[in-house]
Amino acid sequence: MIPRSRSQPFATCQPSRRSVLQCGLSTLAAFAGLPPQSMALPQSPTPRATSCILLWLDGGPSHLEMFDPKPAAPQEVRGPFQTIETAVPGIHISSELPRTAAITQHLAVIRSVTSPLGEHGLANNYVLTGYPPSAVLQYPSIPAAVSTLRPQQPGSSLPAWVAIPEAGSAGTGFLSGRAQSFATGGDPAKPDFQVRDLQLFPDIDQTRMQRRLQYLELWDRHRTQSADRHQASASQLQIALKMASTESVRAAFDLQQEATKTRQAYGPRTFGQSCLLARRLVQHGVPFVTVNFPGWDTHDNLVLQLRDGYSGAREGVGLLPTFDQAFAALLTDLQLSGLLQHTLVVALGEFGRTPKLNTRGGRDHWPRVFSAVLAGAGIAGGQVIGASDRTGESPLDQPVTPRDLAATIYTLLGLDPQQILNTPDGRPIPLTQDGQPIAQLLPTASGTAAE
Amino acid sequence: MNARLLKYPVLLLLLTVGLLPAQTAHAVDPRTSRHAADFQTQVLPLLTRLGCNSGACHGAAAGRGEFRLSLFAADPDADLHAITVERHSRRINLARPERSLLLKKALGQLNHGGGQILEPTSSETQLLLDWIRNGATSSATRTSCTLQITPPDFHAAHVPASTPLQITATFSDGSSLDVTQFCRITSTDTSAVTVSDDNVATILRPGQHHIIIRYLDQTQMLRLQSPFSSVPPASTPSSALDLIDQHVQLTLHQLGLPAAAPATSEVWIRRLYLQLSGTLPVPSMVLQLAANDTPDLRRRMIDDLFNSPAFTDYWTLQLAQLLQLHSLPNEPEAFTASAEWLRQAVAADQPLDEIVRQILLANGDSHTNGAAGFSRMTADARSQAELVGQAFAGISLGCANCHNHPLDRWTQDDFHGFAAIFAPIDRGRIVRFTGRGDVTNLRTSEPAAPRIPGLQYLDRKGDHRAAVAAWLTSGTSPPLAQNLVNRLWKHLFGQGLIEPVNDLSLTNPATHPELLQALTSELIRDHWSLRSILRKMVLSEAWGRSSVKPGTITSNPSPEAALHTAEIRFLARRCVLPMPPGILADAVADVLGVPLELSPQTAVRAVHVLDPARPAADLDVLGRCRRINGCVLSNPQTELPLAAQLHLLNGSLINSRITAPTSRLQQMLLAGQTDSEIITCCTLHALSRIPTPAELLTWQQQLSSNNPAERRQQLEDFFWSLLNSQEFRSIP
Repeated sequence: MIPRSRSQPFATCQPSRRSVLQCGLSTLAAFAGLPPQSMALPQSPTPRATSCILLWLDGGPSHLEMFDPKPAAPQEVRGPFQTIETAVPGIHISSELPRTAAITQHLAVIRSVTSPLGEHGLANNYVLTGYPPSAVLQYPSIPAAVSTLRPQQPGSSLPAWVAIPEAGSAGTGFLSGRAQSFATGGDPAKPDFQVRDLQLFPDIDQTRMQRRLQYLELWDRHRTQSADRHQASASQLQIALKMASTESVRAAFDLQQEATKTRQAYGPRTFGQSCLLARRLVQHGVPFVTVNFPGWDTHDNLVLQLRDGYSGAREGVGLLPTFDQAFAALLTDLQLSGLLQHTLVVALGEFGRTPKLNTRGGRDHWPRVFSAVLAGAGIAGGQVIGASDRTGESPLDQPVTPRDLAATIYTLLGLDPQQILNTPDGRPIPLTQDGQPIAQLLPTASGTAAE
Repeated sequence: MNARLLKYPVLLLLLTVGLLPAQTAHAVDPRTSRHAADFQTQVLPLLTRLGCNSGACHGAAAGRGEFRLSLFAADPDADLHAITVERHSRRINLARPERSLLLKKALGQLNHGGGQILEPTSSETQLLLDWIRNGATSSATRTSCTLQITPPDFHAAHVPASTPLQITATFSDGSSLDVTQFCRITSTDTSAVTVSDDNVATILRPGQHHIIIRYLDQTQMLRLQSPFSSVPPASTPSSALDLIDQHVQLTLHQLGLPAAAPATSEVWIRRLYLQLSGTLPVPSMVLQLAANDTPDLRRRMIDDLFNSPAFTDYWTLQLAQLLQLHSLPNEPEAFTASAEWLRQAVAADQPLDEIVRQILLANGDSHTNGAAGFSRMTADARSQAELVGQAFAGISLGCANCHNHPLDRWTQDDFHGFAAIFAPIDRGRIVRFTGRGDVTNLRTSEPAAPRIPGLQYLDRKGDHRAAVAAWLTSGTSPPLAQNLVNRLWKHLFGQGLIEPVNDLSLTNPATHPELLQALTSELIRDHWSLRSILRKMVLSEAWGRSSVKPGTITSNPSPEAALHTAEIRFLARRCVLPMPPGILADAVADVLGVPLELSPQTAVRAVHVLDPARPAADLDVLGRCRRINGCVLSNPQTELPLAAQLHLLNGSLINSRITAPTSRLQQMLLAGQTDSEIITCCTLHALSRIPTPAELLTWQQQLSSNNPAERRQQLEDFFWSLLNSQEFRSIP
């Protein structure tokens, strides 16, 4: 007879190392000491979003020159640009974002994101993971966590997280290599753009590839006995082989299949075509796409960097026009194709810029308050959440931490922010800690968000 | 109410009289006073046993439900205060002990997040009640103790099998007490071992399992074993075996696991080269050993490897990863100095304790003093404390910040106190002790007192880095030695004697505790020589075993997966490991005879790319170590990411090198070699073995074209499949 285990009355407080690895979500929630009612997934309506596009403005975009202009402030705060009205009465944004102004009815603008970290590496880490950086434990970025919990769909040959063109600072943290992004590499704006290593190597045609795979089987047939540890890796190899030999995978990445008009709408530059590729991938069922847009560390000459792009430009090709065209095109495209309801779009960087212009006509790092923009996923558009003070120096109302932001994104994607991920040594780590989802962004109780 | 009572003075008097004698009688009752519940040795252990003060409940840093106890009763005074004084003493009702909040919550009579954890009639409830009735105080007469567990080890011939547990504590005053019912007894795997409420342990599955026993500040493990096979394996431990094999063989014997046969000489030499130098063995060495495999030749090969530059390169990289060496912006001099210093230390086989001591104590200009640069690899004192704890002692102190680890023994005082030691260090170009700077203890919101984790507090002022070095390197079982042995073991065997290697703690049992202790002593006796300890490990039979399954066990059948795991875990056979990305890149270049290039025309070996910030496209695609936690001293289980897999299939790393005019294949074609010569030579280079007759026949049939262009393509495809095969990518 098997004696009754001691564990019954105390199970909620003392699991073993191993049982952490084995038991399910509810047990883990219990183990985390949560009261029983919070063990269940939040009673929120069915998640709106099955996909997420994260537009990462790397370097720290100026909140004052984008979504939080201060027209009434003195010149050294106001900066070089004007302020314009948007499609939503009462919401004003920078004059350099006219196309975005026209689609503001789809946007939720958060003007009170706040963090203490003003160094790129640490700030990136915090915003992308929702955890302040630690030297001992690397936390997974949001896309890594999401793609781990939402792996490849059955029957799909596409990876669960595609990074265009690189993952940048979004790492896998303590999750294994399996959580890594599939990075496209290259420049989607180049006419000959191809996803790295997705095409067969030059001079290798399908016939030769088939022969190679047949040869490969001959080698591995002899070795099945001692393959134990390798099976996981071999399954990755299987995915890679499937990707390499599936025509529909190449099609999902093939921008040539888009109409010229569509390609032009997104703008000719890297970020625009990256956004278009992101839309294509979401359409083909990829759960998470990150677009890395570097160059926002504008320490000098805002006019040149943000608007003009090069000195003497007749039409601005700087960061703002590039962003404006692509962002507005992406949202319009998603809206028209009906994808926006099921796609969460997030645009932000690691911090904002100093309220006062520096002597070089630029702005330096400023994490105390900055902006983030969310759209889709049933979010009520045309709203501003939180506010910064008169000079864009500090949050005035409803401060939002990167933890809150992460909790919001997870929730909108239908994941419990308290859900546990295990480190390789079995330490349970919730998706977010101390983060509160932003209530205004969650679908309303009736299940229909205001449009 | 008072008015009403005053109307009945007699009744009131009667009530008072009726109550008083009961209380007085209770206080002097010899039976109760003899058994008066002692706070420190009975009440607190009981709370520990019930789980009240675990990290997931009231032991959490912030407590729970506004009631905070010290983790596993580490701070009895604070706990007494929390229970009896805080919140206006509302947790204890001296007048009506049974109405104490402490009891009502635990009995589930009031809303309690942890639910009901006590039965009203249980002896535990009675004990708490007694303690409160006696005034809820602490006498603190007996404190520290030693535990004796009966049985000390439990070996069951069959499962299930049970044994009663008895735990006796001997206190500092010489008295001893059966404390079984006050111990917190936990199975590390309840599917393998259960412990009943009356303290009977039952082993349910074959294998080696553990029970953790906690009493006061003592934590001990009880090992329970039951064999997989009732027939003893043929080989029993003999004194002819070396140290490692004696221990490994004994455990295999106890668990009834037969050991696999020794690996072939080809497998042995491939394993040796890849794990000691990160390179493939050259064909001549493979053939030499295959022709004349003697212990003497094996020893000479090991010594030759130890003296090779490849060994120094490889272990410099391993240590650089452990120490998180990376370049700092605009200071290439600092990186160069540190890398060169480390390389020289490895080349000279400098004692490992000396290397660590120098790194910890170094002061001065990091552009010229390489040892000083390592203090600059972390941004602040807390990070440095975490890194030092992890890399040198194998402990994860950072958990103390959040308390998510319920089994962790480190407290916030340990973590912040350890960080306080590094707070006065200037991490600028000139590394020095400034005498200023502190770390806030988040528990007390005051500057943390410098502290050696788990041991002792140090003076507020002063440079305590030497004390850290002494703690790490002295004693019979120095944390540094144990940690290094465990990490090196993991490097060579694919798993540490303790896993995870970053979490050496009392509650994390080793697979072979006696072996770990013995190797720790050996490392010290051999003057902390990296080469000596590695030599011992690779000369063992355990390391040299085949990965092929050693026959089937028929009796006492266990699930296949459990047996498989046990065979690997207890070293009955080897597990096949994937080559780390950098090793793989170097191996591809070596086999094809076309070097890696970081930039055009600049040949390089991946093992020489010490700086993770140095651009190296091929390494980036394969997924190289970014000096973040997780690749410390090579994590053998790292999987190749998807992009890496695709790169190997379709990318230029392999493909362009196959067709390069200088490649091994093209040169052999140019020299007019036959198919079988090419097949044999390439297989020997890539897999460290000659093809079997069956393989040779297969390939001769496959590669049969008489058309030279077609033949070339077939051979290229052959080479491609060879380098993408699982066998090539693995350390056998």
